[in-house]
Amino acid sequence: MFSFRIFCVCILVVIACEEMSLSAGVSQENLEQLNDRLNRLEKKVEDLDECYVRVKDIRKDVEMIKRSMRESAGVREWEPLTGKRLEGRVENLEEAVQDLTGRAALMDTAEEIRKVTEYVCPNGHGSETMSEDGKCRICGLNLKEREHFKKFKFARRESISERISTALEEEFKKRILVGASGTGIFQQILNGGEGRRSSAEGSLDLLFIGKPLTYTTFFVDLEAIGGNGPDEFVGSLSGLNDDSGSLQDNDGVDRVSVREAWLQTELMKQHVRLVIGKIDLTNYFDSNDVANDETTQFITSAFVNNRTLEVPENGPGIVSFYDTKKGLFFGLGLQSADNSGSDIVEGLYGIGEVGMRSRYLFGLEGTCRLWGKIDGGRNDAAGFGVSVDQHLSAKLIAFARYGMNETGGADVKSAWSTGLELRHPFLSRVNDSTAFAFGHTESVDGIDEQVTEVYYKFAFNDHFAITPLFQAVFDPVGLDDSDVITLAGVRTQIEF
Amino acid sequence: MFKKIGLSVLCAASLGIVAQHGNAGNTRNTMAKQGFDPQSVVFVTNRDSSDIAVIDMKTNKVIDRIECGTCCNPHMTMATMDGKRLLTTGTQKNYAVIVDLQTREIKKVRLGIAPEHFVISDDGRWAYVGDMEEGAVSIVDLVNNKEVNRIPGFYEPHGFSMLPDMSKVYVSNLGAHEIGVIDVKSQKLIKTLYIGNTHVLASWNLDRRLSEINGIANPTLTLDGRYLYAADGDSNQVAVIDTRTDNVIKTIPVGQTPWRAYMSPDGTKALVPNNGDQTVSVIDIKSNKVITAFPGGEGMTGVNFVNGGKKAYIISQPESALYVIDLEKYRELKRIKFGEGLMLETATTTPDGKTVYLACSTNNSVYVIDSMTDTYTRIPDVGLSPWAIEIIGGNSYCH
Repeated sequence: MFSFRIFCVCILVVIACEEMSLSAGVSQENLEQLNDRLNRLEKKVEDLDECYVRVKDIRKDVEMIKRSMRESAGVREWEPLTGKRLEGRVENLEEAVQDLTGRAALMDTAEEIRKVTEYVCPNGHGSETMSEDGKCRICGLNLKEREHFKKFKFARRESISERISTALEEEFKKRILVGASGTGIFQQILNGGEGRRSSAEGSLDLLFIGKPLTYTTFFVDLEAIGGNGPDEFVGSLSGLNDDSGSLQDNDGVDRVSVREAWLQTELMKQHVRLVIGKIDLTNYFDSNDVANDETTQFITSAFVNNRTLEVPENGPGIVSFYDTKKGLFFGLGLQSADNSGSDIVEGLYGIGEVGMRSRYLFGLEGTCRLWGKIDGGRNDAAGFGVSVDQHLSAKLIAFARYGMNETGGADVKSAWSTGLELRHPFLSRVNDSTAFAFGHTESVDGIDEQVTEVYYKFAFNDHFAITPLFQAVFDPVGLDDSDVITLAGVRTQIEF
Repeated sequence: MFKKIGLSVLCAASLGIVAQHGNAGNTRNTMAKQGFDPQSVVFVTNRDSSDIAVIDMKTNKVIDRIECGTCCNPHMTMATMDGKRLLTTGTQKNYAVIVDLQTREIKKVRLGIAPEHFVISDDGRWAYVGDMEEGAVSIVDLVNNKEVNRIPGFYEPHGFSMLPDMSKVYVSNLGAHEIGVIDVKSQKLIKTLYIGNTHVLASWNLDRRLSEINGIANPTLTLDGRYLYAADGDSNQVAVIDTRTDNVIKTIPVGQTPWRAYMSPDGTKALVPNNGDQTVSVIDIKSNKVITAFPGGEGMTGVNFVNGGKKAYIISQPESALYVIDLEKYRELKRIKFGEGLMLETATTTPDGKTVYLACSTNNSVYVIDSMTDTYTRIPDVGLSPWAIEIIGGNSYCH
């Protein structure tokens, strides 16, 4: 635009110069002609000015159009990029929100198993509601009401701090476990020279278990027993109630005794187990999977431990076991002859055992233990024995024991026993068991006695069991005039 | 003139090289997309590294990794029979990951809370996924990559089996003693089948029933799909279901706390590991009776049949061992101990029944076991926490 103005000015200057050069020798006519030309030129300049204004306006319009075109073109270039970015961000946000929602849902979930009533036909088809005609809508058979158990998930109804405190309380409770076990045994003599006499016996054990360290256990068993069982009348060599042995004073006051109190620790990657304190050696030696506990298995002493074992009453002692974890294990135990605590090394009872867990018989599990003992309290009377249990199937287990003593100092010369246990014999009775055993005991005086026992344990749940049982003693040593004594009994066991 | 001719030749040659280079690039791109033949690899789900390792069965080396998303904690992986797609469940992030094995395109499909196990229809079109924490089953369209339906009414839906004719899907509930039957056509839960006798057991010990629940881990079909075997952990029983009528036709008592039934390759017997009494019950499919039981190990999580069903490998998770069982004499031949404290998870058998791939989550390894010699080699650094393992056409399972 600036160049255009200069151009116009130059034209005027040229015209002016031309007029000045002509003015000297021109006539009046020439002046008029020149004046006309000048007017025309002025008009042209005016026209040019108008054009310039128009051009100016057009340029504005063009600029506007250009700008708008550029803008529209720019939008077209800009839109897809931004759209994609926005889309991506929205997707990311959505994903994050869904993640958070999912996590929150998981965090807030609380599980609860609930008992629900449902209606099931014999074909297994079920529904939550009873149909009007009481028939299954699938197969038409009659529906029966049943209780079912289902795991429901709920939104959390307690705060995190409440949960933590509850968990801590539960953990604290776990530090010391308190258990109680009560056993009551009623036995009735069905025949025999002493008449149809009966006996009742009861024992209560209060157990405390603490774990001061990960692999260390502290155990205390407080026991009270009332009643001496049928051996008061029969006087058998086999022992007709291993749970008996009244702790009452002579004046009839019940006493509570510390039956066991020991500390156990496991060393060398749990290969070695060391127990020290007031111990019961029969818990560790001559053990058996089928016949080793008078409160849950056979009550006859001859089927709880070998009669030749003749361990002293529970007292200060030490037990050490080494388990190779490959089947073979070794044990050594020493116990004071009495529980007085004075001169505990006097008349020590020592026992050693070698055991082997194996699957030699058709791949079924079995354990064999061979032990030897020396009893310092009985003129160092030595003896040995073997205890075997063997699964014959997943449910059926057999056991056998044999033991022999040197006659000097011992009461029992030899003893053997054998039997079978059938676990969960019926479909709906998964914790029940039934067992049978027969045993022979010979005293150092050469007197023989045989005993048999059969029981069926009804385990109603993990805490309560009732066990009807039957015993027979052949040629009991305590009775001269009776060949066979038969007894019927029932044992109740409560455990928490 | 000669200059012009020379220049033309040079230009033509250059153009040819450029074109060739372009073609070569395309070929490489295709190779990169395919990478492997899905039929000749093992897919291993790595829970903590959230990826799927691809192991070449010829070299037993990890040849590829498929990312499943950050911290999604994938649980189970299964490929469609045609090898076109791979599905895994991102349990932590509540989605399923569908991998197009031809294009390597990965799609995430949002599901319910904590999806874990699933079944894929034989045509590769549908997947039925159990949302464990939501108590629902998601039906996923694998072709269009979307969840088409979510069916509620389950209690920890854990195991799935689809009938060969693809008409019904059976879903076992680990949090209840029941099997749900889904009609594929209507996509509805049409029946609930009650298994076991926990209602009887509850009368003796109610507290125990209310404190924990061991329901049904898996519904196991016979080879022809005619019958289904469902082991109920609490009632120590295996129910036999006729899939035509969906009737419970028999209840078989087994050992304590049975895990699930594993069908032998010839379909004549089912092995049921009982983790309660550490035995394995053998059910004869013809008579539906327990013909024998043999000792097993602790925490048995899987059974793999090898050598045409003459032998079985039973995984004992806490013992870090594999029990080798002679299935003709039902006795333990050998115990393969892999180490101490190694958590063995799941295994898969190759279609020829000669090799087993076993995932071990604690040492990030997969063990390859030769069924002829019972010897193994270890593939290390497979990923973090290998869990599920899959071979197309192989005998795979998850837990």
